[in-house]
Parts: sequence; structure tokens; C-alpha cells
Amino acid sequence: MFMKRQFAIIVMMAMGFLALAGYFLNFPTLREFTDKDAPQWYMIIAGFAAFLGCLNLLQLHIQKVVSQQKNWQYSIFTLLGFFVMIVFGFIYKGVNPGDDYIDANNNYKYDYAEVEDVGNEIYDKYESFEDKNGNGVYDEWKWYTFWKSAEVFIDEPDGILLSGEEYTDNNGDGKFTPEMRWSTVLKSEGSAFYWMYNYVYLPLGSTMFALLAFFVASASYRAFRIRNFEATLLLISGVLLMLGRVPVGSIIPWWIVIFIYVSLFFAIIASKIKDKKIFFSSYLLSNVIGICIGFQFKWNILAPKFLSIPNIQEWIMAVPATAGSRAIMIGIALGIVAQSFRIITGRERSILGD
Amino acid sequence: MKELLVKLGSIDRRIIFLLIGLSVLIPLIKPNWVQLPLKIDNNTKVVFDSISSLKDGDKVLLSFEYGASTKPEVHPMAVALLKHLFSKGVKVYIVSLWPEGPIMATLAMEEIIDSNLFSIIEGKDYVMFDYKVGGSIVIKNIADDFRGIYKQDYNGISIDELDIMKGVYSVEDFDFVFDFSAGVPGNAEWVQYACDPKNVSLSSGCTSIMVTDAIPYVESGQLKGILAGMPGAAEYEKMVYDFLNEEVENQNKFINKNEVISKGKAFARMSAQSVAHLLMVFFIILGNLSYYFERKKG
Repeated sequence: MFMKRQFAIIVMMAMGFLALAGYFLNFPTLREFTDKDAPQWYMIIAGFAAFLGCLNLLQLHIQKVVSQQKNWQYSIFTLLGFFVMIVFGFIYKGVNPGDDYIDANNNYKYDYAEVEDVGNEIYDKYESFEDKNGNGVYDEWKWYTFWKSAEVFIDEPDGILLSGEEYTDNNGDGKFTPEMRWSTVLKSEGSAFYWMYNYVYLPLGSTMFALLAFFVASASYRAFRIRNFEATLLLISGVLLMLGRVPVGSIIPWWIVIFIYVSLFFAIIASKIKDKKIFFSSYLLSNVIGICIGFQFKWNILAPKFLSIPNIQEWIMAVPATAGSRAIMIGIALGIVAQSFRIITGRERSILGD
Repeated sequence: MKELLVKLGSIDRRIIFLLIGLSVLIPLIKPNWVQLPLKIDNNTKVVFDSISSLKDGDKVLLSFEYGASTKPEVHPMAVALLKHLFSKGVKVYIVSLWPEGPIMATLAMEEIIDSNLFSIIEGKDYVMFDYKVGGSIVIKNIADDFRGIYKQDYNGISIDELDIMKGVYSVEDFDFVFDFSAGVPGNAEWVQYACDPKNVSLSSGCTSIMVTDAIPYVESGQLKGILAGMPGAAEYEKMVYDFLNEEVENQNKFINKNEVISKGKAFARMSAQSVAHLLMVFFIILGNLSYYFERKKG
């Protein structure tokens, strides 16, 4: 019990005070700890936390399936995806990366992916494999030779071709592929994991994100209504942003923007004018006057910035949106300070599972 | 007419889905049907000018923080930025703070290598590092002690053996940092933990939804411009495309003149986004007319 509660709180408080003190005390050892050691500790702990997260996910969904909780069928797919990717990541390597190194003409010179010597004594794609010193040995990547003077592609009698035994003829077909390691399998284009990511996960992820467009369209149709002043403001700025961020915004003529301004003004004062005839006639008249002023000032040739939708959009982002975001950021920062204080002083115990 | 408008207020959502689907699909399949001029946003110009001011041999740190779901939006700007950097002979260092980051970076680099536009060599002109867990703490470590966390590159080669790593010890050794961001950690963390305290220029490309959070940093100058979502990517692609063509004519030694310069993917997708946005505005107007008559009736 002591280890689970009091000790955890003591560690939490001690680390909190230490980390905080590093910013206020000019003590080199402490600075070294907060700047270098503590962040590295954090990264190690975060690595383990990721592993624990996987275990937790597994436990949660297995429990859900076993006890057949609500929507337990979806958990089967989660578990299936989890295990399939584990198998492809750790166990089944799939196709070796592309049979890249082929001795195409049995001359004991190993070419990269069917690319033949076009007469310049350079044997690979992008001129990477070069016989630097004319000894019939083809080095990998120019920089590699600079650093390692690597006689990389050496045809040794045992069928193992490269320094470090990396490239081996795994199945005796004369095609030499890099030895697969755990980390390599995730990075190799021909591997099963890479295939699953590229052709299953990637399209699924993009599809999920793209579905947002449909829901936003449907939601905006139903929810973006002129109910009150605030809703009207939100609607107009939303529409201006939507149009201003796409090419079509720049071809919307200035007189439509005047029409939007006039409509906005009359939407605000609508409740003040009771007589509908006066309201609509003054609304129409204002539009006509606005357009006449536009022609008088030759806005049809060069429209001022306040009549360009992309410029209005830029202004909305730069002024009201920035002001709102800053207010939220300051609020969040104050909240973090308060929460951190509670954690450091041991008052906040929800992180211990309370 | 009024009755019809009121009825439209309760239109089946599947019809809306169908129309939105068509509005996206048709411009993607037939891009020539909808061709619209692209206006360059001021923030995109700032990013372009900042990158353009870099010189041959300058060091730029790129951070990949996006994944499969946000790839269509962020990936085109990554490819365009890499083209821009390599055309200037800039050394590129790639780190990833999201698990999917290295795959995204690999895909972007493959696109660059396959284009054959630049004669670049891994380890000399660019270097990639693997994913590191820890989020903002990794950024803090990069700021103080790069070599403390990255001992080897993506291919497992010790950084001491890499020519490109000479003189790189912390974020201060980079001339510019660029962050491709789709969440947390993202550009805000780069501002707070690395670039602002160490006074290193930083810029970012992010999803549209993140722009509102990032814009205070742009306005304060802590971010040198921003590439905002797909429109930002399209604008930047266009600027880089024009720049590369200009540089080919100016005999730029870093660009292979014999290869074709492509425009990029985001540019082609903008027409689809334009039509979809127009349709949404139309729906909003329709919805409000319906709401007005419904209230009047009620």
C-alpha cells in the first residue's frame, strides 16, 4: 500500500519540485538534470508506457468480447487488426525486399534492380553503384565509399556477397537480398508490414478523414441557422472562410460582397424596423447605392481589399480568430499552472487512479 | 415554392452525401472542367520567401508529424518543400515525432528520388532519423542535445560516420526548422520548447483544422508563415513549380534540366475543394431559407 500510494506521491512531488527548481535555480548539476537527464528518463518511461498501452488495449477488448458487452463485435476487428500487424511486424516478413540485387548477366557483378551498365561502368539506379577504382568491385552509395572505403559487393565463393554478411542469396536463385532484421522489415518496401500499411491502413485512414466532408456538409445544412446574432456572426464568418480559402473565393465579384455587407447590416437592424415595406425597400436601395458607389470609384476595375473574399478571410484569421485563440491559450495555460500546482503539492491524486 | 423550401429543410441526408460525393469526384476525374485561378495567401508567401532566403549548404530540420489520415492534406506540402530545399542545395535533416512519420518521410523522399530532378545522396545531402517516443520532450532534447537522442540514422549508421552530421549538436546548429503538423506534438510544441527559446527560425505546414490554433504564433512572428491545409499546399506547390522552372532557365546546378517538373497533387485537388465548399454554402443558404419559412409558417 505504501509503495502504491505514499511512495508514488513522494516520487511525484520530488520530481515536480526538481523539474521546477531547474528553471529558477542557477545550479549547473540541477540544470543538467532538468535539461538532459529528466527528458531522457521521460522518453524511456514513455516507451514503456506505449507498451503498457498496447497491453491495456488488448485486455480491454478481450474482456469486452468475452463478456459480450455492448458493440463487442467491433472489438473483434480491433483485436484482429492488432494481431495481424503484430504478425507482419515481428514474425512474418513477407516478400524479401524486392530481390533488388541481381547478377543479371552472370558476370559476378551485381546490379541494382535490373538496371544494366549503360556503358559508363556504373551499375545502378541513380548512379549509386560505382566501380571507383576499376577493380571490378561495385560500391554502394558514393558517400559510403568516402567513409568506409567499402568494398561492398564482393562475390565470395560462399554466395554471401557483402561486407557484414548483409546480402545473402536466401533461396539460391542468384538474387541477393539484404538480410532482414526486425527493424528493417518495417522499412522495406517489399515487406508484408509495409504492404499492409500502404495498401490497407493508408487508404482506410484517408477514407475516415474524408468522411468528415460528408458529415460537415450535412451538419452545416441542419445546424448553421440564423437563430440569433451570435449564430449569424458564426455563419457569416464560416461562409467567408469557406469561400476565402479556395480558388473560387477570388473570382467572387465585389458587388456580391457589397450585397453580403448590406445583408449583414440589415440582419442586425431587422428587429428595429417593424414595417416590412420600409425594411425591404431600404434594403434594396442600400444595395443599389452600394453598387453605384462601386462603379463611381471604379471598383469594377480594381476592387479594394475589404471587398475581396480572400482578403476578408485573411483578416478574420489574423484579427478575430487570433484574439479568440490567444484568449483560449491563456486560459489553458492558467489551467495547466493550477493543475500542475495541485500535482506537485500532492493534492491531485486522480493520476494514481483515485 | 414556400412549401418546397420548407420540405427541403428536412431533405434526406443521403441526397446531401451523394451531391457532395459528386462535387468532389467530378472535378477530380475531369480536372479540365473546373479550372480556377489560385490566389496566393500572404502566409504562404512568407513561407516561400523564408525558404528562398536559405543558401547552398544551409541546414534545415524537417519534422514529420502526420499520418495516414492527414496524408492527402499535408503530404503534398512536404514533397513541394523538399523540392524547394534541394533546388537550393540545402542539407535536409528529417526527424519524426509520430510513429507514422518515418513512413511518410520515406514516401516523400521516394517521390523526390523518383522524380530524378536532383542528384541527392542519403547521408550527404539528406539524412533521416527514426521515430522517437516522447513527443514534446523529444523536441526539448533536440533543442539541447541532438546527439543525446539520435545516435544513428534511419539505416542504422552511426551519426559519427555521416558527413552531413558534422557540426550538428543542437537545434541552434540548424538554419531553419520546418514542421509538418497534424496534431500534438506539432508546431506549438516546436515554438514552445525549441525554436523560440533558442531563437531559430521556424515555419509549419499543417491541416486546415489546426490553423486557428497556430495563427497566434504566426501573428507574433514565432512562426514564419504557415502552409494552411490543402489550399496552403496547393499555393506552395504552384510557387515552387514556377520557381523550379525559372531556376532551370537560370541554369541552377542542383536541378536536372532533362527531367520534367510536375505540378503536384494538392493543386489538382483544389478544384474539387472549391466545388464542395460552394455546394456547402448553397446548402447553408437553402437550409436558412427553409428555416425562415418554417418559422413563419409555425
